[in-house]
Amino acid sequence: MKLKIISVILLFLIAPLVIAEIDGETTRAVVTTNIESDSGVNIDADINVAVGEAINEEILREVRVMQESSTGVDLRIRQLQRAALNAELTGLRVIRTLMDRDADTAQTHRLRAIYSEIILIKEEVFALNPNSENIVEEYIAVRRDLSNAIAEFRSIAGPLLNENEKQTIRDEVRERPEIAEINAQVVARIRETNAQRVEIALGRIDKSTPVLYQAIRNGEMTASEARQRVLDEYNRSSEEERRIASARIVQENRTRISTEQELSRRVAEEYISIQRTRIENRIERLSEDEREVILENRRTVLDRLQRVEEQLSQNRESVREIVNRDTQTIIDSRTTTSTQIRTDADIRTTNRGVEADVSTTTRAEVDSNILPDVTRER
Amino acid sequence: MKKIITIILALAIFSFLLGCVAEDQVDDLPIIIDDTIPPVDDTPDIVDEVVDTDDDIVIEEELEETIIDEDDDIDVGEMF
Repeated sequence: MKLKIISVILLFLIAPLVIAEIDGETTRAVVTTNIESDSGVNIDADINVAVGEAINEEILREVRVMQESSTGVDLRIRQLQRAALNAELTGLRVIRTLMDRDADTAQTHRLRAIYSEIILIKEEVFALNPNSENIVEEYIAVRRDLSNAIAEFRSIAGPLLNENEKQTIRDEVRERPEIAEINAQVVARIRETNAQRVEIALGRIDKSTPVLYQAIRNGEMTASEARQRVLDEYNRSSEEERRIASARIVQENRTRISTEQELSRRVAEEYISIQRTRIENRIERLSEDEREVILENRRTVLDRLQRVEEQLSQNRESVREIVNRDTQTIIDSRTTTSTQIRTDADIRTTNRGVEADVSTTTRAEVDSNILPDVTRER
Repeated sequence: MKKIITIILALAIFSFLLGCVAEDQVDDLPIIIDDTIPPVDDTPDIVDEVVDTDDDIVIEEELEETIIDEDDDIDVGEMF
């Protein structure tokens, strides 16, 4: 009887403790999640936005050609020059149109301030040095600033102009000789880039057709004709040659993705580190009136960058982890083609025992690395 | 017998109160978040899948991106 009583007592004593502990674990897990969110959400979101401003899928696709050759660098710089020039000419015409019809002066005042900033950004675009070691990063930073200033201008100017006025301004700017001149420069570089790319593409199947390259350079064939010519050459090649070419493409894409990952992280970190100073330095060059307008527009961005900078100085590693995670997300969201090619490369590497080296960064290095592997397979 | 029932009831109430106190203490425990543990990668291991590599598809996709159209441009947005 005594034993029974003691057993019941013990049961009553232990059971609540077990129940309390289980319940406590649940509570603790929930609290942990909340605290992670509460303490991390602001800075995490700040870094997230900053990384998104610095690099995205569209920019990565855009700078791909810059990483291939000096012609590619020159091409993107000329295109950015054209965009900046176009923004300057259009901005001036918009402000004149609004002043001529005595439009809202407060809005016109704001547009004039943004227009002044666009002129400063244009100067920075034209000062870009294609031979700079960090030209890709510099290009991305100034391109982002131009894009932001244009978006601010558009948000005010768009509703103030009617469709006829917009079309007139577009036509006038398009016919400006400065724009026509830079258009010709851009087209010349696109043709040169295409000629170089076709040479590399045909080199993968050990073919060389200098007449074709020259025809592309001279603009004697359209892009689709050139594309078809290359495809025809591939179709005429043997199955073995196409297999080797495919292996080379896969390897090159692996290298490119690896390079893009590095670039993304570098750009994101650099953007966070110097963007506030860049904006503030530029604002300093504006008149007092204009400075007030631009500072008001940029207050949120500057405050956010300052918060991230402070976190960066206090806990660089944590910030870097978030930057890495965010840039990885951007890389992972790239086109399915890249992903598929990467997948194929992995499969090929596993199946054939080819030791892939993704640390190389140039086409020449890619070719010299893949060739011995492919030759061995033969 | 009455005594035993009384004791059991008393112990039950005592245990209940003890449980409540214990739960509160668990709530107040300092929370340590171990962020050194990497997140679990639950993506399927694609390398292990058996997939036929189609060289022609790889080539075709690459050639599609090789030639840049002459009206290609960067997109920084419109002024209005």
